[in-house]
Amino acid sequence: MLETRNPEIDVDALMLRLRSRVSELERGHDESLPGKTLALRNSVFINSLEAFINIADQKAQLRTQWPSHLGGPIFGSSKLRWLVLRALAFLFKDQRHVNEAFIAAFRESISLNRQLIEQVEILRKDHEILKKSVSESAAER
Amino acid sequence: MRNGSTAERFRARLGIVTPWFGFQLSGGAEQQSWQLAHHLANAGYLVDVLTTCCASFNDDWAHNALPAGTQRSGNIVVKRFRVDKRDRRAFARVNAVLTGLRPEQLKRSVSPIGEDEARVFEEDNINSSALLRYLAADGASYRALVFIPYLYGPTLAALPAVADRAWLQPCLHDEPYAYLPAVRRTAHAARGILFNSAGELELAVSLFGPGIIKKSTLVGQGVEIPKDSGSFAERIGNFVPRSERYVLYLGRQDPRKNVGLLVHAFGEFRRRHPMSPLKLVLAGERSTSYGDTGKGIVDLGRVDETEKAALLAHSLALVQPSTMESYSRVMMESWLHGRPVVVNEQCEATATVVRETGGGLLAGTVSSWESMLYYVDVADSKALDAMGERGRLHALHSSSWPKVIEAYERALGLRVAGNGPRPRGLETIRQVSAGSAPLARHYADALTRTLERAQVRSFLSESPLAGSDDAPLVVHHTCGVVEEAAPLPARGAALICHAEAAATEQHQLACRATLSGAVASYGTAFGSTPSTVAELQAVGFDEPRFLPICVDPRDWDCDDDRPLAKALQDGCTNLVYVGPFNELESLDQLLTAFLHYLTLDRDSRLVLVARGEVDETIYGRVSAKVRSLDLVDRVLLARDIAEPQLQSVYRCAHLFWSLDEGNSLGEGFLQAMWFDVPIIAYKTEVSTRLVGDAGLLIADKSDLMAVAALAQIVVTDGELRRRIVRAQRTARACFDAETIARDLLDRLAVPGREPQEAH
Repeated sequence: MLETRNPEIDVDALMLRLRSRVSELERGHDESLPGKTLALRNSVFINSLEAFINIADQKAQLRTQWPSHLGGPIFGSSKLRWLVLRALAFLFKDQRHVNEAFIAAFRESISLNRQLIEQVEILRKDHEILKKSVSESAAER
Repeated sequence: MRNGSTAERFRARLGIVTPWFGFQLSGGAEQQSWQLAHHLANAGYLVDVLTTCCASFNDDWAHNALPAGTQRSGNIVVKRFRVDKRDRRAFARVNAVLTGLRPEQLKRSVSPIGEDEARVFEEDNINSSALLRYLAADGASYRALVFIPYLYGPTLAALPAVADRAWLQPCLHDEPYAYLPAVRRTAHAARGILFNSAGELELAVSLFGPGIIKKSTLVGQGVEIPKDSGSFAERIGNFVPRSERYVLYLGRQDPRKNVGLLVHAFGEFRRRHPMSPLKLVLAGERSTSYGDTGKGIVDLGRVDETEKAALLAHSLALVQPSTMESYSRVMMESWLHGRPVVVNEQCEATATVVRETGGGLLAGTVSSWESMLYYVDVADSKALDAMGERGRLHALHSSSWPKVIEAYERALGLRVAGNGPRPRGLETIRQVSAGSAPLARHYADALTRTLERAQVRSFLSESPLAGSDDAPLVVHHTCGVVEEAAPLPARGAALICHAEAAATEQHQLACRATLSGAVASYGTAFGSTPSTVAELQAVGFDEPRFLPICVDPRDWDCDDDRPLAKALQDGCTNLVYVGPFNELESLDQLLTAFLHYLTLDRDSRLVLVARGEVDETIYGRVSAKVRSLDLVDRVLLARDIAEPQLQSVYRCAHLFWSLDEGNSLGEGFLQAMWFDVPIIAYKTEVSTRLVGDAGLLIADKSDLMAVAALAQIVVTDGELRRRIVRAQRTARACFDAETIARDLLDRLAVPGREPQEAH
């Protein structure tokens, strides 16, 4: 049924795969699409959470360089800039620790969520396999 | 052999246009433009760098920190132009939207932001009207202008103004900016595009389509070979590289470079292995510090060249977490010091070369980065050295400046490929055709592009065969077209025979008689389908050859249809057929196979595009069948679509699917190959000749469910798709318009230009 002169394609293996796929279809088995969609949605959601936390992490770092758009006669002196940066670092020291703790906690929470989603996916697959074997044994009986 | 003496080279004036220029600038594109300018100047060219008065990427882009005017820097001339005022807040707002987009939100040919926002990005970017005025006035005095990189005002606004001599060196990454309409316009407008790595070229073709392939060149990037280790710095502040165990991040400490991921992964690594002495050293410009000595993260900030060399030489490995690299100069520098690298597997440009050379490791997620850091920490030093050595050999070979400059010279037309004097071609080739004008035009275009200094005079529709003209005459003849019932010209150099599928038996008999009469008068004969080749052989032509239809990807070097591209990228699988509508049964079978396919993948769509021979009745019946099967939402039926729309269809296609049994010209197969769409086709003479070496041919279509299952396997199996596409790329080169024209010229004994290859 199938031909190709492409040396990288094993036609026999592909035919075998095709036959098995067709017999699978004839048995009426199909992968559950909603499950896939759910996994994709969860993954997108977790990725967006991670993006937020990365922004927060970046903004929580200690500022060591003067913002390029804040210049002018008042902040022209490099010594004044250094002093202001040091003062800010000192004033917000506690806040920085609080932020870092929050970010770390949130990262752990994301990691936990990811693990839970993976486990739910495994359980869902197990459930499908079980359902399939039950229906097959019922058909045999 | 160099095409021109040193004196000629001195006359060639080259320009490099870049927003920021200076030795001290550490960005990849900035370093590249600095080194390229100096190396081109050292090779004997007059090099002008056209840049702005803005000091660096990190400065305010509306602030003219440096004086405008011309100054000499070594053997190059730097011309600085004042930057324009801009609305910084508006730009920052749009930029925030762009940087917040996730990869899955980006679609090819579709702007990720609205038109107004896209305009803000262009207008409030770093811009210089003075530079634009200068290029408008003096641009023609440059033999070539290289614009580096792609996403800033000097390139987006100025390149189209001097497009005929403009080469774009995009330094492209897969990032939201690359999807902006202005960037696509610039890529299509440029005369040529220069790439740093094969991965970058792949990305560009996927973003801008196959239209750019013929004008693209992989030039690579040169990197300085490290000097004697005696000149390396002993210590950087309190840090002594020689006595530390560390992995090194070198470059701008910017969240967009994924430094956050690296720092996080290193934190995880230290949490699990608190006794490890391994440190993470960050070296490079930054606005905020990631340094935390308590966690083993050492932030050295900006380092000079001797410090950088010492850090590279004594590191266990270089870590490059960025996905936004077009080349990664630091990776090459690390390899030149014999040290391995760990790169992000999602970055095409770096991951491809690491996979190919074995000069390092790949990581993607936080946990895999953590694993790689652990591996580097505990690995035998010999294993790391071996990886570093493999990388070093590759870097020595690929990043040598003389080779890179030679590639630039070829790409910019300063040096010609091949050896020996260029053969002189004939000045003119005449073509004549009556009924097959569009086909003849394809060949005429291919000949014009292939012949050196020659001209193809096509007499389409009329036949002014002036007797005095003794240029070789190529005659197109289509069997079955009434207009061509007229006798063929008495003599000719070559006869190209095309077939009309709808030809009646009477037409075929008439055609056979015409061809029989021409055997003695024509030097050589070609058939555009295997059946016409057989026909030519049958009437007595000596060794007629197959000359498929010319498909030239340069025809798609323009924007495609954005609304259609957006509609087709809605998450559905697009199965595409483009070809004649002259046979109901095969189209009926395709619809039935698609019904089976829908049971396997509910989110799929069949796109049927009628091109070439279209029978009105059959088109109407297919349309009625689509309605009767209630497939109106699933089948997109179209005819007479414009080239931009056809381009969108191919660019969004997952599979080219043809069950056509007729002997079409196979134009659809060749087009699909250029767009890297894997092909499944029913086995016919044409599909066997064009697709047989690469795609899949169906010899028996009695089981349409199996045909649908095969289509699904090809759509979903990434490795199988890659294998098919790889072979299709090789196959398409054999049917490339220039290769076909060369075939024709060889038979006419006319020397032409060497086929131009996309590198």
